[in-house]
Order: sequence, then structure tokens, then C-alpha cells
Amino acid sequence: MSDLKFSKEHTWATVDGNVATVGITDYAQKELGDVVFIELPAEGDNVTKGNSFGTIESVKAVSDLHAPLSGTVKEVNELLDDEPETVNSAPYGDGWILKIELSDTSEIDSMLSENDYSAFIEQK
Amino acid sequence: LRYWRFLYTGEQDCYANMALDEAVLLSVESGKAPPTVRVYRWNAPSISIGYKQRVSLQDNLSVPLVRRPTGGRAVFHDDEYTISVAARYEDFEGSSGLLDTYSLISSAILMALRSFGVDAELVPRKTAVKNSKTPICFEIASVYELTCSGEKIVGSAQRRLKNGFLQQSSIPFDIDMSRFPPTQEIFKNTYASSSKNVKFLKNFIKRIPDETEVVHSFRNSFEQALNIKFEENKLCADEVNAAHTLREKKYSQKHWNHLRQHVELDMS
Repeated sequence: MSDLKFSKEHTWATVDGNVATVGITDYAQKELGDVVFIELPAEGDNVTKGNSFGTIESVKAVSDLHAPLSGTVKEVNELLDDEPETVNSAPYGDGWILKIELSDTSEIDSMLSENDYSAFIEQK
Repeated sequence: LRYWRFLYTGEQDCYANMALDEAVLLSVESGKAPPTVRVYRWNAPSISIGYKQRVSLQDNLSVPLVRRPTGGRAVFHDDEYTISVAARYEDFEGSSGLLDTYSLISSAILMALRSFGVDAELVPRKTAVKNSKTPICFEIASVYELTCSGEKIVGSAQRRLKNGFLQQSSIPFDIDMSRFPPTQEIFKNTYASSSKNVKFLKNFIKRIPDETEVVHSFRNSFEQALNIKFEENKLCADEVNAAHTLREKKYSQKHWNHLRQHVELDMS
């Protein structure tokens, strides 16, 4: 997972060119418990780093999802409409949430490394 | 010791109750108000459903129904005390994660219930029932929820924003199920519901405490369990105004309650 970057709002991103794939972290899915619904933006919508782009509902809570990077939504994971629990079973794989065409690739530099994110959640 | 706010707002209708919880959440999350524990009741039998719960409603439903700002499943409200906690994540020492805040708030409620003579306990995480399809909150005991003799007696759900969260915990003392419509009228494809078997606090309590004692016990148990001190006990004018707007434009409206359509409100 060395190419994964993390945010303090418990999302991850991998970047290929100027497109980032975004999901929630293993820590986040464990905290939420069984995910039952994910409300996502439409393709073409703009998302802004740090702002809410949707909600994720588990059996016990509805949480805002916060964009780790800014840009335009290129693709949403339609699998999650029917099988939202994929976020629990494969948070870094088939449970990815969005692909974002980045407006500013330098924002990636401010994301956390895996080690830094691990240290961050240990403090919590 | 940190200073929190304690509110007892008595009985209101289901729309006003949800509107005030959201108004307080927004005010606390933005840092304008201190972290808040609110106790309230319901002025009529009502049903609340989860933030994203699907319903198939008929127009002539015999009781009012409101969609909550929090997740979770349907709750029938009647003779009940509801506790809402609105706080910023930084207001909690140690972890402010979902499970830890659930556990802490549940332990405060547990302390109060035990003071009424109820032999309640917290359901540990590993024995929580998963993936149940029931639409009814009280038919499934989840992680860190309070049970008595194996029956769920408190139902809780959270809404988590960027800087803070709201938890609503429903504590039914008694429910007259004959005043509610059958669940099949609300949830399509619901198999025979076991709601009539739901146990209420009345079944586990030797002496029903009066309102003053209940509210006082919750206040004390939250101070002890969360290691906090309540200083304030009033809503501010902005919260009252915001709650009024939210009630009129959102929580009493069909587009929110039935159709799950978001409403953009100018709350400034």
C-alpha cells in the first residue's frame, strides 16, 4: 500500500496521472460497522478538498464523506449502489468510491503517508 | 472538568424535536454553543425513521412520522425519554470515534437506568447481531447498546459531521402498540413484525420514577460518566430561530419525511 495517501478524515487516494481513486480507510469501515447506503455525487460534479461530497450510512450512523483532493468527479463506483457492504469487505479494492480528475495535483503532497496515518489513528 | 450544557425541553411534536436536535448540532458543531445533552419527550405517539430509510407510506397514516437527522431504523415513540448529545470531536477526551462515543454515552444512560432499579447491561461488540433485515430499530441489538434480560431497551443512532456529531438515544418507558399502524403499512415487504414483543422499561422497573427524578438522574449520570460539569441550561435565540425554520421547511414536510429529498435552507 506504499502508493496510498491518507487524509485525517479517514479517506485514502491513489493517483494515476491526474486522476485520483478515492475510498475510505480500513479504520473508517471498522468504526462505521456494516455499511448499508452510500450517497454519492454525480459524474461531472466538482468536489473540494476538505468539503463533504456525500454521506455513508452504516447500521448505527450517518457520516459525511470528505474529499481528500479537489477536482471533478470522473467516475463513481456503481457497484456500491447494490452492494454497499463492499466498502467493508474490500475498502482498498472493489470498495473504492470515486475517481476524481484533479484540479491541483500538488494537493497530494499535503496528504499523509501510511505511517503518518497509522500514527494519527493511534493517537485517537 | 469541562463545561457542557444540559437542556430539558419537555414534550414537543416529532417535527419540533428533530428540528431542535439539528439546530443544536449545527450550533455546537460550529463552536457557537457548548457541547450539549438534551432530554426530551413526545407530545403524541409518533414514528421516526432513519436518515436514509426507505418507506412506502400511505397518506392517511394514523400517527405522525418524521425522518431523523441520524441513521438507523424505525422507532415508535410514545411514553419515552429521548436523550440527544451534540458535541465536537475535541470535546471527548481520548477517542471521539463512533464506537467509543457510543460506549461512553451508553454508560451514562446505564448509570441512570440502574439508579431506577433496572438491571441493564451494555451489549459487547462481538455479540452484536449483524445484517438483520428488520426495519425496526428495537428488534436488533447492536454494538454497545443497552439490554435488560436480553431485550434491547435503548435504541441509538448518530449523525457525524466534519467537526462534531449528534447521537439520539431513545428510552421507551411504555408503548401502547394499539395506537400505531402495522409496520406493513410503512415498510413494503416487511415480514410479520415482532414489534408487539418489544420490551419497554416499564417491564423491568419496580417503581416508575417521576419526571423530575428521571431528568435529574440523567443529568447526574452524564456528569459522572463523561467527567463533565453542566453550567448552562438555555437555548440561544439563534438556535430557537433555526429550529423553527427547520421544523417548518424540513421536518414537517413530506418531501423530507417521505421522499428523502434534501432541502437547502438559508440558516444565516
